[in-house]
Amino acid sequence: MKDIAGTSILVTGGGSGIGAGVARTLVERGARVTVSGRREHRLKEVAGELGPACLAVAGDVTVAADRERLLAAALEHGGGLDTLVNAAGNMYRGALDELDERQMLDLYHSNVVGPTQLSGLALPALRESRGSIVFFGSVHTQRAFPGASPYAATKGALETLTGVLASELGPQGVRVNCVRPGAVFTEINERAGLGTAEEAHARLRGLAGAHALGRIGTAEEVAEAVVYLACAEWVTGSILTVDGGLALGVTQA
Amino acid sequence: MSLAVVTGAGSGIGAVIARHAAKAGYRVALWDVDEAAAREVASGIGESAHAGKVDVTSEPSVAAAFAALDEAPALVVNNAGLVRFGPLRTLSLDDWDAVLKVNLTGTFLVSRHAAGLMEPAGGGAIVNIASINGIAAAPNAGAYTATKAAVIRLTEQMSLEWGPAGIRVNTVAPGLILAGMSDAIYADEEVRELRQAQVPLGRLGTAEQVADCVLFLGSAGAAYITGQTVAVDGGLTKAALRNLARPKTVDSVGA
Repeated sequence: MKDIAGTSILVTGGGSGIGAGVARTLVERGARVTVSGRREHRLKEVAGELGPACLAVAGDVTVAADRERLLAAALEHGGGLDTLVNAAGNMYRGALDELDERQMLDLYHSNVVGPTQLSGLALPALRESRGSIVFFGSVHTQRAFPGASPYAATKGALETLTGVLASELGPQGVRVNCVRPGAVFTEINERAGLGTAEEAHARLRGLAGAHALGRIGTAEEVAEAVVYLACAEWVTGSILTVDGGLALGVTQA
Repeated sequence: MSLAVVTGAGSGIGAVIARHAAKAGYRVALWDVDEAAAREVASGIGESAHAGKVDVTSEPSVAAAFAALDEAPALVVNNAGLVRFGPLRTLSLDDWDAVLKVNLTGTFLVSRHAAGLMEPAGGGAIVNIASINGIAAAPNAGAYTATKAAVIRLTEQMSLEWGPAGIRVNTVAPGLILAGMSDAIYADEEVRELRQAQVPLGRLGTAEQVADCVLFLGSAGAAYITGQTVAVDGGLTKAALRNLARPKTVDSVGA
């Protein structure tokens, strides 16, 4: 296993939710982390909390010039790049006959096209370090949640990309894996129309019984899977589900 | 120090998992039908390791082995496995049954007795060793493929039944590994070259890389992971279409 300490890692979407949890865990393990996101004040909060090992760079993965800036900053801050963690993602949902074309394309842009383009941009640095890429899938690819079709489709795309790119980049010494989280409370749930933080918390807690382990997860628990995949030198093309058993089985009586 | 049990620990991947577990701070019980082999590995580890003669296909043997432990294990690794190659048309029923008994029945028996000790102790982790043959079939593998696929589904069933008791159950599916049962295969240089050319990462895996995944799944870091199968295969199971020929001039087809 590679040692995570001292490695350079770029975490997109690192200003909030799972991305922030990943950044926190990586810094605790001694990595040099660059976090990016669209909201500068959130990034600054995370970077302020994590200290000099963490650099915040505001930027949007759907904008080519921003991607170049993010990557350059990560290369400078970490002295190269060992792992790209594509945690940035958005949520859009709605009934099929009410879906807005522009919003669907925007979602595909932020969840699939942006991360894929950034991965391509980072490829020379990752070849150099024999590094790896981590994408985020979702329990939405395993179980149908009515109304979430646009989001589920983008996550299905990322899980498929994981296998294709693992096969394509393996001969270049670059690994590609995916973490598939289940119900983790983050603010994306609020944006999905699940109500205020308190309402969303209560709703997610209500899902606890659907998990084999009887509870929803934390961003830090998802982060541990990222650490493993970043270090496991013979694991590529894998989708590691971190969901407390949410997507298992058809009946649980 | 918490206790780890590794079956089939007398050789190959099992021996490496046992050594890795000891390095990670576990006391280790090394179980094998070949007691002498398990003893030799245990003595190499030191005082924190104990060898036992256990036949995973025999419920009395498994029950006695668990009864002899001085505490509930925190980690149990179902590594004991068997393969009998041959075409399905002519495979002997004895070979079919032998593979089923060790790979599937053995995993079931060890796991349920482990769970019996883990539940009152507040939980634990079980890690099964399957194979990429549990994900994709291979000709002439006899019952092996079917048993490894069954272990993957059994993993899910156990994780659902025992999750509320705090017991996590996961599976590692190793790919082409230069160790253990596969040593004889890779002794042939030509076969080795042909096989590793199929792996996206371009090389065979090691028992240590399998052990790393086992210990991750057993650790507190994997506290929210249950019912899963992780392929440790250098990308092989995703690579079926990697080597298809296509003219360089054709970038898109269809409208």
